[in-house]
Amino acid sequence: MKKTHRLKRILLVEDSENDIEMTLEALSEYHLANQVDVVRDGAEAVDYLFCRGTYSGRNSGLPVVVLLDVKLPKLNGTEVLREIRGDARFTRLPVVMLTSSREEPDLRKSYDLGCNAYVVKPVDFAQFTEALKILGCFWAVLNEPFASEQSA
Amino acid sequence: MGQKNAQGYAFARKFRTQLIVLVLLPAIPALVLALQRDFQQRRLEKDRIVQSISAVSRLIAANELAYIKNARQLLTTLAPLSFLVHATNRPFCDVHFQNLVKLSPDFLNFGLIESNGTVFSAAVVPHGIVPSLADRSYFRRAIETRGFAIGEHQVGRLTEQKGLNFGYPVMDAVGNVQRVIFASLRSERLTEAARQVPLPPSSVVTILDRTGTILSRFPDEGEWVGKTVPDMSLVQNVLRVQEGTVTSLGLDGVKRAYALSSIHDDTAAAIFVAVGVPTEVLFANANRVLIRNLIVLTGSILVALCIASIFAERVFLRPVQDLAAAAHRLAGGDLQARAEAIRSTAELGNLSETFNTMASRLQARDADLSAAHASIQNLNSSLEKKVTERTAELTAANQELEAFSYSVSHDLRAPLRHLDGFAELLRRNQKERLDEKGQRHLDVISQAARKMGILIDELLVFSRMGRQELMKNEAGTLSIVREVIAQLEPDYAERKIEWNLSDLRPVEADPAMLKQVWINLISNAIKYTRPRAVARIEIGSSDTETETIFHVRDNGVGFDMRFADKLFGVFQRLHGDNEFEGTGIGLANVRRIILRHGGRTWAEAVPGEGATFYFSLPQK
Repeated sequence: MKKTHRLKRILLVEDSENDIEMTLEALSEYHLANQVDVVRDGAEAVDYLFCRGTYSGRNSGLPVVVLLDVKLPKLNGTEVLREIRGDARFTRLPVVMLTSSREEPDLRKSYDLGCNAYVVKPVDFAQFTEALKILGCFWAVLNEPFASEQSA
Repeated sequence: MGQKNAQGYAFARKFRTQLIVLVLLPAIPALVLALQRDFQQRRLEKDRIVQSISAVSRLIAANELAYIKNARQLLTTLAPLSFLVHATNRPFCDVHFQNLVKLSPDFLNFGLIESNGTVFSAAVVPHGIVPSLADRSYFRRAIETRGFAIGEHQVGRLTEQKGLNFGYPVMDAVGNVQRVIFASLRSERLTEAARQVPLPPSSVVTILDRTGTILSRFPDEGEWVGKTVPDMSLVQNVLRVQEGTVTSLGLDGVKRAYALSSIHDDTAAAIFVAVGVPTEVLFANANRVLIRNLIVLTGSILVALCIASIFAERVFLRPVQDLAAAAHRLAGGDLQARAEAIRSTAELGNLSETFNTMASRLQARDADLSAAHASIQNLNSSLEKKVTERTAELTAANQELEAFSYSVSHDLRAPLRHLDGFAELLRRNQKERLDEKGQRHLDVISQAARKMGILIDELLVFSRMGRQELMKNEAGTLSIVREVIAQLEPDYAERKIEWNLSDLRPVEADPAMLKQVWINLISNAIKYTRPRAVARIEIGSSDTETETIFHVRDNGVGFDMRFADKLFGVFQRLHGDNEFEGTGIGLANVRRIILRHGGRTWAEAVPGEGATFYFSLPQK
């Protein structure tokens, strides 16, 4: 198993370019930005994970974490989560809901579907940056994923 | 219904009975009179007949008596003849007696009996042994009574013919009875004597002697004559009563009234005459009259009853029953029931008219009621429809509101985050290009964005408070307040606050929402007492009849009461942001939550001295 393949990929599912830029900016401080794969809607996220459509040739294993926005074009965050958890390969894949709102129905549904964390993006940029750093550091560095799923 | 009808019939029956009684009542005196008259008639009739048979009876007795007197005369004339005492020439005597019989054709025999009962001489003697007559009653009685004795009606031992014998003592000079002279009267003479008397119709004559032997009976002899029947009730009655009248069963079993007469010898009654008339005959006339009277009376009563019944049926009973039936039908819910017009009497006519008017009114009222009921049902159903529509509208509105607040929370916050984020990136990356003024402008952008973020958050909470379902529960106020004070501790850690928690009643409320109320009120108190060296915050409650009133009193900056009603409005503030920070949504939340619990909110204050905020909750 090659070392390079063990690069820890973070999948960011986010439709807002501004948010993408701010997220990458925050993660870059921990040098995690270059490990981030960005998809811009729910359907693309599913294609990425199932290696379908434009990602059919990806063949690069599972990400260490999926940062999943709730409000997304095509398939929304909870729908993507349902697809992922519906497949045996992804039952143990860490998924963090990363969203603007604290709407209770979203929270309940996300936890019911098996998300690993639910993070509300703070309006304050400093807090936002802090939150992203903690997230990236935790999932990409500290957290130990289940062995068979960390590489393809 | 059935029971009422039965009552109706019972009424009719009772009415008829009373009517019959009414008609019968005047008939009673008539009946009494008729009966009285009949009794009188009977008595008179009876008296008349009894008198007539008594007369007949006496007449017969008298006729009989004539023969008997005749015999007595003969015997009393012969007896003193002295030769009879001492005579020994029997054939001589026999001849004399035979001559006597020839002279007195009414008699069968004459003779002389020795004192021992042997026949000394007689006109007729049987051949051969002459029987003794010692046991004959006329013989014995003549010796005993020393007077005239009548014997029984019997077949003579000497003559062998039926006859009535008489005896008379023959005494010697000193008065001792030596012999008895006797005479035997032909029995048919007795009957003949009786037959000469005209009898009243249906009457029967019976002649008997003291032994109960029937001497004669006519006009119908039957088989009785000659028989000794002392056990027959007639015989017993006759022998007991002897003279006068008696009612008895006759020999043939027919009940008769008898007039009795008797014929005596020297000492006792010997022959009895009973003339009887059947009691039927006795009362036949009276009964005929009574029956005629009764028939007439009954007939007139029946006619009266018929007339009264027809009258009652036509004039009263039928109309009343018709009215009652109509009333029953009406009572049973048939509002079309009407009584037929009654023309028989004005009062009943009025009654039926009144009844019909009442029934019509009832029907009209029922129709009104039905119409009202129908319209109410219409109203109800349309109301229900409206409620359903409104509910649907409300549900739709609520869903829209939900969607709206969802969009607000997502889509309004994202640009704010970008505003703050890129201002920060600009500040970080272009720091050397920006002068001090430029950097301050960036700060303003950031602050405004953050402020708006807070406003949006609070607005969403406010909106959620309005929509969220109430989960009412018993809420321990004191524990909630303590929890809130502890939770807010970071806000006043550096300050000196005197808490005064008095009696706090538990209430029926949504605990989470109630906690939000206390957070807002207590944090306000903490906030607005900030200028005080020692803040005093008093929290308490009191009960009225219908509500529990809670209050939070502070010694803070207070406010001008002129603006008191603005306090609870959304985004309404009485202090500048630079003075006391805030969004102006806390008290609006308090009011919304308390209103949803059915309570009220209000406040009192004196500027510079403090404020008291109140809210009330209805009692359980």
